[in-house]
Amino acid sequence: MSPVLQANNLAVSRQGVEVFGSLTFAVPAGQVSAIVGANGSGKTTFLEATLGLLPFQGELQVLGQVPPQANRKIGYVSQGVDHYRTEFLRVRDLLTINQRSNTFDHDDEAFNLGVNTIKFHLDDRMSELSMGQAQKAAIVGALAGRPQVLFLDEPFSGLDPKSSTEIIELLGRLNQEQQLSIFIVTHDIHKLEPILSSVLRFEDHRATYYPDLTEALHDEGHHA
Amino acid sequence: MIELLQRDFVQVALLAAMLVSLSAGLVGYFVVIRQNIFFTHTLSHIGFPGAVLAILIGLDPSWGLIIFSTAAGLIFTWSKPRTENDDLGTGIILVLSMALGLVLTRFSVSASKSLEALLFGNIFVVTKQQLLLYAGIAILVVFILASLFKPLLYSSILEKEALAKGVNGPMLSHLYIVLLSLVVAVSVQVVGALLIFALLVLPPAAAIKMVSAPTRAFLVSPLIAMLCAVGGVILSLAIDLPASFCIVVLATLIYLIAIGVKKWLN
Repeated sequence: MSPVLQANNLAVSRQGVEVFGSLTFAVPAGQVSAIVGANGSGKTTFLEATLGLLPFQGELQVLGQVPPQANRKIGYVSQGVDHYRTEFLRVRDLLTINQRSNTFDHDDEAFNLGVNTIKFHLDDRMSELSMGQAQKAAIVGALAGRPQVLFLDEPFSGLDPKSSTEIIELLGRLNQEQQLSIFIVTHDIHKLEPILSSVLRFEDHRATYYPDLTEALHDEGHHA
Repeated sequence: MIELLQRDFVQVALLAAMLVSLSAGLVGYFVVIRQNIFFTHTLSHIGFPGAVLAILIGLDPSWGLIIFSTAAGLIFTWSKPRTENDDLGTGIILVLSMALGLVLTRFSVSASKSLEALLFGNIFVVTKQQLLLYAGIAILVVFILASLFKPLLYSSILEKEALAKGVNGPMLSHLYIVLLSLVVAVSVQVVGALLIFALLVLPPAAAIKMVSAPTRAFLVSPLIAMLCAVGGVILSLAIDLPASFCIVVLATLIYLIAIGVKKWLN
């Protein structure tokens, strides 16, 4: 299967300081991959370079294209759910905010799968939702427009175990039933173990790609 | 009262109130959702020395207000990212501008006479030429904000997500700041630099409390602003109090009612 995300000798700097360098890997399409590492190790920086929000050196391709060319085929939820819990949007507004039209695409199976897991009212303001509900709405909103790959930046931060489990179940179904490729920045790969295929670990200005989950979990034990 | 409403200067004032409040209600919606409230307040104060300077050199104060607030708005957005909140720096610029404006009024009798109108507004001195300017700005605001409503809403609330989807957030930001600066400049003449809150913040804040759908709140906001501005002008004629005072009181009342209704509904 052709890679969904590919890097060759990739390096990214912020304000002249190299965050990480010499990163080479290729992630096949249709996988759920975790991006892990300590705070400040470069996880979000990597994600922002992948989205074309930051410049980079070396080669980087998403769906075979240099960022941000493939961004229309990408769904993205940024870090921290608080900015989603706004009184300025209702749930239904968030679900179509990245589309020209304000109506739902009823033929979009992945989007509908997500909408059907929403148990709260679509006319509720986002500010009235719990953190877990808002995070789920944010993910479903990112599914609008039929993305082929989903990037989620710390989606479980501040969430209770029940909400985390519901979101993991939704991501698992999106991956299995809709063949969606998913990248999740997280601090806890054990939580994602049931749906995870590979891991990208950032540490000491370097990154290591583990195509095999067993090896990643083994190394995680050494880093814990 | 009816006889008064037929007077030329009152009709110009009512038209000015309608045009300025239409622009203020629309652009003010984004002031509230982008949380640019203190920044907007500061822009009006930066326009103050510009207006005094314009009077000193014999120009319409509107031009001084427009040039100073637009230049300041653009310098602010170019100099720092939107996410960086610098209330201290903004506050320093606010007081410096006021101090500079005050000193400049010492150099001209006509400028010192305009001091109260610039600080607290005087809609009854609006000229027909200024009315044309207000109409031009209103058309620009309606056209640009109606065409760019959704991408501007997206990048105002979810900045990174919008950028990742190809929305040109920085370009929209600059465009919005230019519109905001123009509207601030004309609102100063209606309610004054010190009371700008009444037209640019209270009506959209009330609209957002009353209506949850963004497009509807965006449309209700100018209606409330127009109600306050036109109602304030008529009220001021009826009870012989300054129009800006009446506009501020009406805007505050509507905002309080909106909060009350929302609480009651919940």
